[in-house]
Amino acid sequence: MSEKISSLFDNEIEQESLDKEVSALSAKSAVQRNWKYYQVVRDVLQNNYSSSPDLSARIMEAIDKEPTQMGAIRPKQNTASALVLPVMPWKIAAYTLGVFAAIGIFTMNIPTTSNGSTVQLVQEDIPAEFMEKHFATTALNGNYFIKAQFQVND
Amino acid sequence: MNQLKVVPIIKPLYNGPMPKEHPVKSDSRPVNPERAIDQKLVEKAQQGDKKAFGILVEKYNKKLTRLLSRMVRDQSEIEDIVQDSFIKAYRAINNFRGDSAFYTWLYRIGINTAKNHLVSLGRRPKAMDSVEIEDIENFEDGHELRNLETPETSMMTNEIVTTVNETIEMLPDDLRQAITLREMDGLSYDEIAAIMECPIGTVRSRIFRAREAISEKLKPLVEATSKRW
Repeated sequence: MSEKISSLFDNEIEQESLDKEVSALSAKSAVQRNWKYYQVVRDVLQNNYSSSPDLSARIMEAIDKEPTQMGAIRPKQNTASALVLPVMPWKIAAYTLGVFAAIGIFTMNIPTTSNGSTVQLVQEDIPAEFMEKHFATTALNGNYFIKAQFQVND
Repeated sequence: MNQLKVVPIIKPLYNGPMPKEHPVKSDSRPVNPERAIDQKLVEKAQQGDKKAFGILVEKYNKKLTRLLSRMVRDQSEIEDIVQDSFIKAYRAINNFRGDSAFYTWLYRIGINTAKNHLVSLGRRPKAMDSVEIEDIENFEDGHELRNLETPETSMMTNEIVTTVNETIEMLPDDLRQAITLREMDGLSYDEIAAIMECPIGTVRSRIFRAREAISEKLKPLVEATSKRW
């Protein structure tokens, strides 16, 4: 546990260290434990301490069962390679066939609600970056879910 | 049931006026550091980092419990409402844009969750006149939380309070003074540096060393408390 985490706890961290220390705090269990002790010391000295109820473990267990929120990540666009690589005719043919096949499969499997309205899958492909982030950051190794957003077209 | 009133043994060290000049200027710190730190944690949670959200849970769950205990008296109901509030906050985290402080946003969710809970039970929500949104940022009331204690947890509370106070008493003078000026008098590092007539780096180090010494003593007690919950 570094002095900087103690400074972070006091909101006395320099702007340039903020990212690094917040990352250390969210990544290391030992740092989080000490953060908890710091909080106890503060609560005691400010006459706010109580042994009950500390709900954080219970809340995090529930949060772990929630779909991981990943709204702020944008999939990377590899525009450079798309511009540089020559497009071969067989690639165009394969791509066109693939698109038609995908459309066929998709239209045959469009889900509907009980009243017959169409349910459209807004986010149908999940970038690998999302998945890596999701598996790397699930706190309690619980069940893994990816949030799928559905839009009902009446 | 009689509740034990726990009062820190250590008294604030400094009651005089705040020093006007500070030996070291720390201009590189964010304008509102607490909000900046919370915002960073929110951004990490928005990128899928659940542990970052866990820090916010750790930071605010007791404060939210204290706040909601003014509206709801039953402990198990309060615990459910606090949990629901955090889950709602997590589900809506991508909608949080930082227009208000995270805790103001969280407490609004908490108060609405409590109101809806009471209405669903056919009970009239208690007026929250004494805790307006603008007061929420400074809301602290340990007594509200201690009213929820059982005799067992009350004993544990006293044990932890005693350990902290005794450890602080045994600290070297400079460490004791630094941690008390910070935690009890609520002074900034600049202000502590001015009072103790030392560089801000020394203040940083003294507060850190004091915390480490107290944490070492607290570790077994806090872990035992966590296991019970």
